[in-house]
Amino acid sequence: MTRYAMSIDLSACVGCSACSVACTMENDVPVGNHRLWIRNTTVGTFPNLTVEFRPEQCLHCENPPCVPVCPTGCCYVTDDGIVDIDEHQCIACGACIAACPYDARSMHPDGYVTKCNFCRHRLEEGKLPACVETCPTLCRSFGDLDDPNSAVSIAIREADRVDVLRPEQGTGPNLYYLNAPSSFGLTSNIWDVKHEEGAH
Amino acid sequence: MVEWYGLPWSQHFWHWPTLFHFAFVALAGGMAFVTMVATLRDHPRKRTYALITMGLIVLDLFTLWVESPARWRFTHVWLFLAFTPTSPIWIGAWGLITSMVASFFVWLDRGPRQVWGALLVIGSSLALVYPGLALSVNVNRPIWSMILIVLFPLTGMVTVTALAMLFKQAWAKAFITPLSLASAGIGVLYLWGLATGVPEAQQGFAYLWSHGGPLFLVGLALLVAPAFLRRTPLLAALVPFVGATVVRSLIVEIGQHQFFGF
Repeated sequence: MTRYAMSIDLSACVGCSACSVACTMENDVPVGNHRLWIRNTTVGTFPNLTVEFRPEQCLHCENPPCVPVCPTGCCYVTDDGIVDIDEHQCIACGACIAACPYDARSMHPDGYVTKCNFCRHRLEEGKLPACVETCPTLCRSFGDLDDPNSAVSIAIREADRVDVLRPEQGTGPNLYYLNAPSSFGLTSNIWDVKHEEGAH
Repeated sequence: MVEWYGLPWSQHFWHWPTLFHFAFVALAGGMAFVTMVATLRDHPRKRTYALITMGLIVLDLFTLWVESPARWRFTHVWLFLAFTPTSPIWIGAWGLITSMVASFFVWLDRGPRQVWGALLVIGSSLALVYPGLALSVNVNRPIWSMILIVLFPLTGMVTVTALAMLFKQAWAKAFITPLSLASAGIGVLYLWGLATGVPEAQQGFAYLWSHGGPLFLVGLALLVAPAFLRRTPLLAALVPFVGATVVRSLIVEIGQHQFFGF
C-alpha cells in the first residue's frame, strides 16, 4: 500500500520561499492563510552562529490528533496516508485547529478549515506536489515511504541526520527534516533555542 | 531570533463569543441536571425547569451559530448524521439534543417520567462534561490539562445553582457553598498541577500567570466567598457565579496559546 511522505533537506534549503508561493498559487490560498510557511531561526552568537531555514506545513501524521476530534468526520486519512478535509462537511468548529500541535490548519474565510494535502489533485494526475516541483535547490523529496526506491526513501536513507517536529507529541509525522544545521537538531520550539543559545 | 515567510495559524481560533457559549452550555447542562433530579423526584416545578432548560439550550446553540464561521453553510447537520464518538463536540451535541428532547416531554408532562429522567441523566452528564473534555483532549496545549474534565462540570453546576438562588429556589442554598468550595479546591489543584508539572505545563503556568493570573486568583477567591456570605443570599449567588465564569473564560481564552508557533 502507498504511504506518501515528504522530506526536506535543511542543509540545502535557502529559505527562498518559492515553495510557499507555489503552494499559494496552486491551491488558491486566500490572503491571511498559509498552508506552507518558512521559519528562519538564528541560533547562537557570533562567531558560533547557525541559521535554520525550515519550511513547515501539515505533517500528515500517522496518528493525527486532528482526526478523532472532528465531530462530523470531515477530517480523515486517505488510504495512501494523506490527512485531508472534506470542506463540504466541515462546520468550522475549530476542534482540529486546537488539536494540531503544529499550527498547520487554518480557517478559510469561506467558513471551513483548510491545510496542505500534499496537492492531492496533482498526485491524481501523476504530478508531484507544487512545492516539490518548484524548489530550486531540490531540497524536497516526495514519494511512497514503503517503496525503498522512491525519492523520499532514498533521501531519508542517505541523510546524516533525520528529525521530525515535536516527536514527544507521538503523532508520527510523515514529513522528515534531513541534515538539520544545528548540532542540537531542529530548533523545534523556543525552549530549544534558548537551550542552544545558552550552550554557545 | 525567528523570522517568518508566511505564518503558522498561531492566532486564536475561538473568539470572544465562544466564551458566551462556554457560559451558556454550563447553564444548559446544569439546568438539564436540575430538571433530571426534579423529574425523577416528581418535583412540582419540574415543568418550569424543563422549559428553562430548553430556553438555555436554544440560547447556547444560537450563540454558537452567531460565532460560527460556517453560519450560512448549514453543515451542522453533519453533527447528527456522522458517528464520531471520539469527538467531544459530537458528544456535547448529542448531550444537548438528548436533554432538549427529554425536557420537551417533561414540559409536556407526557410519557414515562422515568424514561425522560434517564435520558436527562445521560444528556445532562454529557453536556456538563463535554466542554472540559473538548479542551483537555488537546495535549499540545498545556494550559488545557486533564483536570478540566472535573473543573468544568463543577463550575457549570455552580453557575446554575447560583442562578437558582437568584430565582429564590430554596434547595439551591444548600448546594452553593459545597459546589463553590469544591470548584475552588479543584481550581487550586489545577494551578498546582501546572506549576509543578512537566516543563510544558510549567511554561503553561507562566503564560497563564502573565496573561491573567491575578484575575484567575480573584475568580478562585470569589468561589470561596459563599462560605462567608450565608446571610446575604443575593451576594452568595452572584459572587460565585462571576467567579466560576471568570475561571472558565480565562482557561478557554488563554489556553488557546501553544508554544510552538511564535
